[in-house]
Amino acid sequence: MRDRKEPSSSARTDEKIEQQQREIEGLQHSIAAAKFELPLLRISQEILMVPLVGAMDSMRSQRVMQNILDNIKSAGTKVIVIDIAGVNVVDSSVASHLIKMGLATKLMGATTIISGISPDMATNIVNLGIQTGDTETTNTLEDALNRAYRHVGLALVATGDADN
Amino acid sequence: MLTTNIERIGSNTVIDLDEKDLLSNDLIRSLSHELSKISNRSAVINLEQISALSSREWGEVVALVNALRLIGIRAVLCGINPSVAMTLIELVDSPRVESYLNVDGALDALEAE
Repeated sequence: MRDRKEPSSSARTDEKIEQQQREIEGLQHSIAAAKFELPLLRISQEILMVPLVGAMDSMRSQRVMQNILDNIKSAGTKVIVIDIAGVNVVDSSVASHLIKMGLATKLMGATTIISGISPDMATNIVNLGIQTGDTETTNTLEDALNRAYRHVGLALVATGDADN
Repeated sequence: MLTTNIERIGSNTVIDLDEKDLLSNDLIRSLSHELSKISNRSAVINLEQISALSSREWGEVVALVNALRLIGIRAVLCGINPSVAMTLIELVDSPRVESYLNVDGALDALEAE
């Protein structure tokens, strides 16, 4: 019977280093993914935009909501525009998460406007019997931002100085 | 004995509720009596010092708002913390109260009416 050779100490060290590198890469990937999934874009001092892309499950929804509420408290944000044009599927569960976000922000004195509702999405929402209550919704982001500006007493005005 | 901090700011009254206040069995009656002695017709109930709220305690807060309305005082809330907001939306269907970020925001809104 041949003796099994134990791995040398340097081989064990190399293996350990490789494992740690894999763990670091995994953590970096998680951090990058978290930043991607929790985007908060400041449009003005009082308006925040949150473009949602991909799937919206309840864990992600909680994280987004926590982020938004913390932002309202720390920065005094008055209007949040949540754009869902990039959300894969808007079913009753996603709609429920969005409505809760609207309620939570309202409790903190802010207004939520949900944009990116396409005609097909709107048809699905009504056919599913989903109640959106008094949550403000729009088709386009442009419309949502115009409403957001009005909420804070601002308006975009053409100056006639456009570059040609 | 009422230990809640009550402050008159112009034509408004600011009530700073804390977690001890919510343990009182007589909060609504005591505060209603106290505010009825003041001529102010609007009040801000500040919940900034409250870090957690059960559904019973939330019910007390809403009942207080309603009791004050019955005696002719418009009461609004302010200072709800993010963790409290996230809990409340799970506990109650649709919290229908006027609520503002902080005391200044609430006072501005009341003054603007």
